Amino acid sequence: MDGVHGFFRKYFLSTIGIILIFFMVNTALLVVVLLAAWSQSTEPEIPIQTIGEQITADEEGNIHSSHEVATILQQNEGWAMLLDDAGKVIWQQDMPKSLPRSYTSSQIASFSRWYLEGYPVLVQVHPRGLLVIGMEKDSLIKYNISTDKTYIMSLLIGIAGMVLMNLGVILVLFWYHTRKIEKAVAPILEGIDTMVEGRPINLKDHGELSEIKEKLNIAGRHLRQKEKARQDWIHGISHDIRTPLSLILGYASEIEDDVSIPEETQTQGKMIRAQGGKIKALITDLNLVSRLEYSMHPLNKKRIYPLETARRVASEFLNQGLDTKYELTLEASEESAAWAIEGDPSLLERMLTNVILNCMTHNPKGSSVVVSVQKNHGTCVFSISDNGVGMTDKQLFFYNQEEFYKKRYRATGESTHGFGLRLVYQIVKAHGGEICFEHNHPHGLAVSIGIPFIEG
Amino acid sequence: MVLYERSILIVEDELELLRLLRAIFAKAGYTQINTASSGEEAMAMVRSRLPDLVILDVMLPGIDGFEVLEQVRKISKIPVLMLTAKGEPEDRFAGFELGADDYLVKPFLPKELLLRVQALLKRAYPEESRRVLLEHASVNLDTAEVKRQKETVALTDKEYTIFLKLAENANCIVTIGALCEVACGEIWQGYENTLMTHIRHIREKIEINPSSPVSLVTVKGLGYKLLVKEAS
Repeated sequence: MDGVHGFFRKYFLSTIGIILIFFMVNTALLVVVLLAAWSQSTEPEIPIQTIGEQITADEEGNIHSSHEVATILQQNEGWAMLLDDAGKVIWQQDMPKSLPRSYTSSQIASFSRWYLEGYPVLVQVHPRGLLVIGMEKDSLIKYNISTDKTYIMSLLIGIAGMVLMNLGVILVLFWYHTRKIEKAVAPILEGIDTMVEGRPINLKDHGELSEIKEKLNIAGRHLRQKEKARQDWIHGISHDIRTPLSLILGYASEIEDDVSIPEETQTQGKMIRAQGGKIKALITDLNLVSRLEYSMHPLNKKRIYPLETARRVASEFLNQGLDTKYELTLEASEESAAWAIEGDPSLLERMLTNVILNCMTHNPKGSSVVVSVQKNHGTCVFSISDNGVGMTDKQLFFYNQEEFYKKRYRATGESTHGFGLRLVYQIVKAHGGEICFEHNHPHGLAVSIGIPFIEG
Repeated sequence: MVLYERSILIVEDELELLRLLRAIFAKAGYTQINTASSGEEAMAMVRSRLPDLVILDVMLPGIDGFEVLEQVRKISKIPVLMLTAKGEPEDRFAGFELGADDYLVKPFLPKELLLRVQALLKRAYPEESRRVLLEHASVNLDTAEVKRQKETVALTDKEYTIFLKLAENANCIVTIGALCEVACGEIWQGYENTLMTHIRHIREKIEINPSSPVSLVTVKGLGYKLLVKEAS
């Protein structure tokens, strides 16, 4: 379920990202367009100030202009005139013939704002009157703005507000939309999760995407049926094998105990009995593995004392006459007697037994196995270590992988591990614990199993 | 009556296994062994003459083992041991709920079956005096009296409970937890020191030198073990 939420959170964040990128690209484009237009612009940059300074009047009232004025005007294809206060042209340069030589004040007012007979003009006050510089027709667009300052301000704020509002609305709509999709899709994704975990799936097949939900339900049922069939099959085999195996074990024991027959035959009887015992353990493990895998084994959890669990397992080994080639010791601190965990006592005992058996079967005579109960960051750690041959780094790597326990066989058909360890793994998981395989020093294998303590 | 003279009824539909079971008990010394291969046959035999103990398979043609058990329980409290291939917890619970005294899942080792049957018989038909013979003393389990050399002392209630548990598992390790459990119930944590006191008191009664015990020995870190020379 976290995955689903994560997905939609990421989706939403990426949407915000997309909108941000969209705005940034647009801003960049706007800047590019403005720059391009500006560089294309042929707006005559007539230095009106310079021209004004170059036009002077002598004491007799004659107006003179420098040669520079003519050059500038020619370059820009413009013209200039100087009006006195009465509106009469008292000086001109390249002025079109069609233009009148005197202007009324209303005409002046008009062209200073707009155009003079279609010529865009610039005006500047000159000591002798008004300097008017005209430019080629249609070369310049003139407009005048005179508005209230507060109006401009509120307009600018309004535009900014509008952009922000738009952003907000887009975000809210996207968020709402994402939530809607999430609501429709989440049950389906949850259903798939449930199916993957092998639990029964039952989605309500109304609402959005009901068809997909219905199909998922059907697929889930199919999977369950197959799992059930597989489990029944394993259960059936392990059941049917019990009676014949009873006969094998029974008669083998008879042979083993019969002092009237040759010793060699008795030894063979013992071998048959011992191997039969292994088959017995195997089918019990197989059945339990299958039941735990499909959560069909009711866990009989109660408050138990880990040290006592370890004691019972060790005692059982010793009571059954531990093979003299192995040594089994239990190490525990004084305080560990007070620790309690929650678990199924028989399963936890089975777990420890299997790990110890694993240590014994893979090691030569004379190995010693040490079982200890420790405490580590709120978990109770059962540690089972031996001083035997141990594992290679590669093996350790595989044994610490979760996938390893789910796969029974390599591609070659070779078995990767016994049911014993698989059962151990499942029992650990059923108790919310962790298992770790490590090197023991100087040699051997150390297995630690952490099971959480009861809260409080 | 001697243990081996008790009559046993074995109900099992697999004839090969039935033959093996009969052989196992015959070899162990049991003299009165009857067999049945169906539920109906078993019920008929139970009604005609009540056996001292029944070994019952679950999967039987006709009426099954659980039904037979139910019917037997209506007329008697004789010990019944279920011997079955059905080993799931549900099946075992069902068996015990119907009144089975023990439940052994196939495949089994003959020795285990014999020991369980023996224990059931002993519990159901206590001998005149159940005695446990130790290195330096003998304990009468019915009177909780300990005879050491010429003196006789009695075990207290708690001591007796603990001793009985040890005697039932004679020559085997009994864990500290298991002993605490019989003495004070399932929540026994914190009882360990009291248990040690009880063990010391038992030793004072059954050992000549309690500080170096030879009968009730400590198995370091695990629990205790009662070394029995002979039990009846």
